[in-house]
Amino acid sequence: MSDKKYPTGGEFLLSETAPADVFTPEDFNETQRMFATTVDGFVEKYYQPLMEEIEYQGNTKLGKDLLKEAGPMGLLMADIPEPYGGMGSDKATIMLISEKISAAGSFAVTHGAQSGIGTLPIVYFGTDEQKQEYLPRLATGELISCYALTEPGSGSDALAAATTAVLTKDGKHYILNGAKQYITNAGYADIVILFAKIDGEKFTGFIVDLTSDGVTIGPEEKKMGIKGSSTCPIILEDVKVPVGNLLGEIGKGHHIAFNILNVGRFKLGASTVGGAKLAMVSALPYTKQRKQFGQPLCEFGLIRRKIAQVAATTFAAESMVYRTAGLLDVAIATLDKNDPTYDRKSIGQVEEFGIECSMIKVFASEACALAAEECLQMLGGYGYCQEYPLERIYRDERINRIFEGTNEINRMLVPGMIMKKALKGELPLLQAAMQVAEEMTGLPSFTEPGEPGYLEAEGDTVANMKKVVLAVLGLAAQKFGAGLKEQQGVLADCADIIMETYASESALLRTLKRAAAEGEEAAAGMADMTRLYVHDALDRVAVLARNVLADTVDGDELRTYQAALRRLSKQDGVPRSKLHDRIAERQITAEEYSVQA
Amino acid sequence: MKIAVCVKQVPDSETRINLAAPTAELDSSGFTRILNPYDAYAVEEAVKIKEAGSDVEITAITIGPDTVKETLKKDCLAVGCDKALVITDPALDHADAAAIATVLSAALKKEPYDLVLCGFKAIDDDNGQVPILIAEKLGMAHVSTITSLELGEGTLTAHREIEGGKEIVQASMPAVLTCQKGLNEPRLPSLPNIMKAGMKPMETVTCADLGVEVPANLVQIKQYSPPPARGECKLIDAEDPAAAARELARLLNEEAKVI
Repeated sequence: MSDKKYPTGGEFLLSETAPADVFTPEDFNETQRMFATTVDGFVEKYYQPLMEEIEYQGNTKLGKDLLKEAGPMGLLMADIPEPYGGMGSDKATIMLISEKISAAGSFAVTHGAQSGIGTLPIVYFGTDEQKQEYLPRLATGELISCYALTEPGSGSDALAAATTAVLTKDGKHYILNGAKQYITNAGYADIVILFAKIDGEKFTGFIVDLTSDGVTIGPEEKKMGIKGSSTCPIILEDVKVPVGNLLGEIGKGHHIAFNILNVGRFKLGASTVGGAKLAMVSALPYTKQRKQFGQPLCEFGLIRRKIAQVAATTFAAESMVYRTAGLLDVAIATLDKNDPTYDRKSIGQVEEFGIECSMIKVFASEACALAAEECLQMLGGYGYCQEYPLERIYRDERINRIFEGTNEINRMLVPGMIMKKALKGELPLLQAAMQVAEEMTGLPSFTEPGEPGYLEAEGDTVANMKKVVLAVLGLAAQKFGAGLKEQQGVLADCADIIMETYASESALLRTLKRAAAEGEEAAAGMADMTRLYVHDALDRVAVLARNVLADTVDGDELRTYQAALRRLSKQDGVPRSKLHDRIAERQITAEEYSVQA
Repeated sequence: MKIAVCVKQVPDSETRINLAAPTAELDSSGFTRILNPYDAYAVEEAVKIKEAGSDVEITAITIGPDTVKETLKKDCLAVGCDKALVITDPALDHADAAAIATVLSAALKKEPYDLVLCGFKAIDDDNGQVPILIAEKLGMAHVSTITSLELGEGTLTAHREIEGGKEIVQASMPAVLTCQKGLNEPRLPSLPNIMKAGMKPMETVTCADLGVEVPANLVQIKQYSPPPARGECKLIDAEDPAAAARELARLLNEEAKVI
C-alpha cells in the first residue's frame, strides 16, 4: 500500500469512504454560490436575448460576441493561474461554472473550447514566456482560442494524425502541413492549439496564429445540434510557426492531448448535469399545466415514474461529478502553490483520477440523454416541435456522447486504467480480487440480517457491488491476461458495473452526509432517490456481471460464481411506485430538479 | 464625494409564499432572498458616478439580520460599492417605515453624504416611504422616481417620468434620490469582483451603537391572508356574439351584480 494520505484514483473500489470525506454540492461556499448566480445572470442577460438567432438561425458569429462579454465578467479566467491574470479557481468552482453555463446551449460549447481545451494546454504545458504572452489575453477574451486534435483520418485514434511539422534550415520555424476538422470556435479564433508530427513521427503540440499565411478556415459544418457554435476545418499549407510556439516537449504531444481530455471530461460531466437539469426545468411546468382526461399530466403514474427516474439518475450523476471535483481538489491541495512546476504537477493529479473523469463523462452525458429523451416524451407532440426547448435540448445533448472521447472509448478506458494501476502496484486490486474470489467460491454464510438501519441496505448493496467489480475484473484479468484489451464487450460490461458502483456509492454518501449534517428528515428527498437508484443499479449490475462471468469462466467454476453472484445481487425490491410518487412530487412542486425533502 | 446607497433585501419575486390560512407572521423559512430590484438601480447609479468622477466613496447601508450580508457582498460590494454598513438589531424586526427611517437617518448622520440613493420602493411591502422620511429628517432635498441624473457643482438635474410626459427637476445637494426603472442597466458582479468583495470592509452595528432608540411603530401589520380562491369559470354557450353579449350583460347585472 502507498503511504499517501489523500485518496487515489480508483481507490473507491477497494476502501470505504466516510460520508464526511466526500465533496457534495451542499458544500459550496458563499463565493461559489455567488459565482453561480453571476453565471445564471450572464445566461439570462446576454445569451437569452440572442437565443433564437444562435440556436435556430445558426448564427455562429454571435459566439464571439458573447465571449467578448464573458471575458470581463470573469467567466473565461477560472482555470488560469492568478499570476497570469486568472483566478486559479479550484476544480469544484470550475465545474460549477461549467454546469451553470450549460444553460447557454451552443455557447456552452463555445465557452468550453475557449476556457478549457483552448487555454489549458498553455496553462499546464506552456513555458513562462508562452503563459505571459497568451494567458492574460485569453482570460479577458481579447484573444480567442481553439483546439485542434481531430483530423479527417484520425478521431479517437488521435496519435494517427497526418499533419506534419518540419524544421526550417535556419532552425527558426516549423513548416506545418495538414488538415484538422470539427474545430470548435475555428470560425473566429485568433489562435489554435494543434498537434502535428515533427518529421512525420514525433507527435507534438504547437500554438499557431490563425492569421498566419497558409492557414485556411473551411466552411461551417452543418450540425444536428449546437447549431450556434462554430465548427470548421482548419487547413494548413506550408504554415510557418516560430520554434518558440512549440508547446511542451517534442514528441510528447500525447501528454498534452490526453491530459487535456481528462479535464474536458470532468467539465463535461458537470455541464451535462446542467443539461439534465435544463431538460427537467423545461418540462416540469408543462406537466402541471397540460391536462388530459381532466387531470394534469403530472398526476399520471407513468409521467411520475419518468420524472422520478430522471431525477434519481441526475442526482446520482451530480453526486459523482462533485465527489470527483472534491477528489481532484484534495489531491491538488497537497501540492505547493509556490512550486514553479505547480501547474504541471496539478494536471498530474488530474491524471491520477483519469478513471473517475472518464466515468463521470460517460455517466453524466447518458443521464443527460435520458433526461432529454424522457422530458421530450412528457411534452408529447409539443416536445417534437421547435416552439418548445426540448426539441433543441434533445438534439444538442447528442454531441456529449461523442466528443471528449466517445463514450465507447471512455468505457474501454475505465477498466483499462484500473488494470494499469493494478499492474503498476498502485492499486492492490488483484489481491483484493483473490480475496473476493475465495469468498465467492467458499461456503456461503447464512446469517440472517436483522431489520436494516437508515440506508443500511443500500450500504450493503454498494459493498456487494464492489465485490462484484473485483470478482469480474479479477477473473477477466486471469482469463484473458494481456488479451483483455481486445475483449471490448467484457470491458464495456465491466465499465458499466464500475460506473454503477461509483454512482450508487456517491449518491449514498452524499445522502448520508446531508443526513448527518441536517438530520434524516432534511435528507428525505435524497434518501428516496438513493433507494430507487441503488436498487435499480444492482439489478443492472447483476445482469452485466452474469454476462461477464459467462464470457470468462465455464463449467463448475461458472456455476459456483453465478451462485455467489446471485447471493450478492439478491434483493427484496423496493416499493417503486411509492418511491416514484414521492420523488416526482418534490420535483413537480419545485418545478425543477430538486434534492429538497 | 460621499454617496450612501440605502438598500433592502427582499424575497425573490418568484418565491412561493406558503399561506394557507390567515396568519400574523409569514413563514419566510423557504424564501430565496435578493436585493430589491429598484435598489439595484441606486447601486448602479452610484457606481456610474464613481466611475465618471474621481474621489467618490460609496457606502451601502442596510437593516436586517445576518443573512443580508450575502446580498450586500454580491450586489453592492462586488459591483463597486466601497464599504457596507449593516444595522442588525432585534428591535427592528417588525419596524415600520417611520422607525426604519429614524434608524437609517441616524446612520446617515455619521458621515457627511452628498447623495443618498435609494430604490423608489421595495417590492416586498411596496411602501415607498422610507427615502422621503429620511430626506425630511435630514433636511435634504428629495427627488423621487428619477430616470436620469446629471450632477453639477452642488446641484443636480434629474428627470422624472410623470403622467403623459417628463418632469425635469433641479435640486441642491445633499439630496435623497429614489431610483426608478429606466435610470440605468444594473451590471452583474464579475467573478473577480466577487472575490475582491470579501476584502472590502463590512461593519455591523446595533441601534445602540448608532445612539438611536427605535421609536414605537405607528403602523402594525395585523394579519396576512391568502387571496380568495378563484371561483368556477362560467362559459357562455350562445349561438352568436350578440346573444353571448346579452347573456354576459345579464349575468354581470343579475348574478355578479357589478353593473
